[in-house]
Amino acid sequence: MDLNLLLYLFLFLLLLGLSFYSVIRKKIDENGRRDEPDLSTTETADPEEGIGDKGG
Amino acid sequence: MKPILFRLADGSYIHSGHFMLFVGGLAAIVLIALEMRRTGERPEEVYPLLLLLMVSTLFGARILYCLDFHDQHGYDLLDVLQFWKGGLALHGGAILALVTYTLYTGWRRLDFWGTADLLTPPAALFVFFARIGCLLTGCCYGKQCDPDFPLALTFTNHSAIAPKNEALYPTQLAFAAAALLVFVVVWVRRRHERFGGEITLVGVSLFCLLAFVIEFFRADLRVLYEVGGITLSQNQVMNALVFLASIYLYIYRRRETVSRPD
Repeated sequence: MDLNLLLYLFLFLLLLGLSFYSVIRKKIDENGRRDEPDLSTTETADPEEGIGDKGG
Repeated sequence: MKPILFRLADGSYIHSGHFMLFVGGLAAIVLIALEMRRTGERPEEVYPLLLLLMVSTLFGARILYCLDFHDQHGYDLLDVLQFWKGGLALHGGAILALVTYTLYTGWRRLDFWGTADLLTPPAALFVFFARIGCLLTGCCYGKQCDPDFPLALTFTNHSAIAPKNEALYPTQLAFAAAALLVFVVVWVRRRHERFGGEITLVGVSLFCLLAFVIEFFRADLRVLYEVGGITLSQNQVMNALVFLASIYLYIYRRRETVSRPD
């Protein structure tokens, strides 16, 4: 194969790889954010209701 | 200078011009990756754009070159597609890259001027390396000059495109220096940008102005026009039009920003 063409193929594949990598990374970041529990709406336990109170 | 960078035992070789385009492309990608961290541009949008720009630049440059030299060499479609085998005309690449850029930013709803400002310094660096490639190859050569001219270039390599053993104006070096100057100006300016597109318009107008002047010393001009008694090359006509458009857009966008400071 022509060596000059190989140079361009290297650049082409590099950019193709970076494109796929950045798209996949974005999707993973988005999914990770969706799976995280939303702490702002989670009910908080009554601080006076200790674990020991329910025992017995 | 050195048109063939190195040759293997089987006869295959790496051409200096293509190698410098490769180096310039690689440098531009690294610079864009670093700049994206600073500006917060989205890599998942910018890298596919770069891929399209690379392909369109190469084919645009090859198409214009083949059109300009069609009378002499009779290029067919296969010659046009095999851009790695022959000459390139950078202006053709710039035109097709601009069309691709406009379509892509419109389709992906990217900030046209913001993304252009991100790409301008790496583009200037790319042109610098491309012109060093011209120097090594011996293309884009200057007119004959006084041998005592301190910056005169004399090509002796039999593979060089330029006339051999003649003192010539160093147009390739001048183009490279112009691109480097533009790179330094836009690189310094990018942190003090007053409106979107300022970096792009400053870079493009400065380079077109410098290239317009340098072309007067160039000898391998192809398509020539007679404008007001002055002979201008195809590249000079393009440089002049883009320069005027850049100045108009600069003034327009600056006024728009002043009238709408938010």
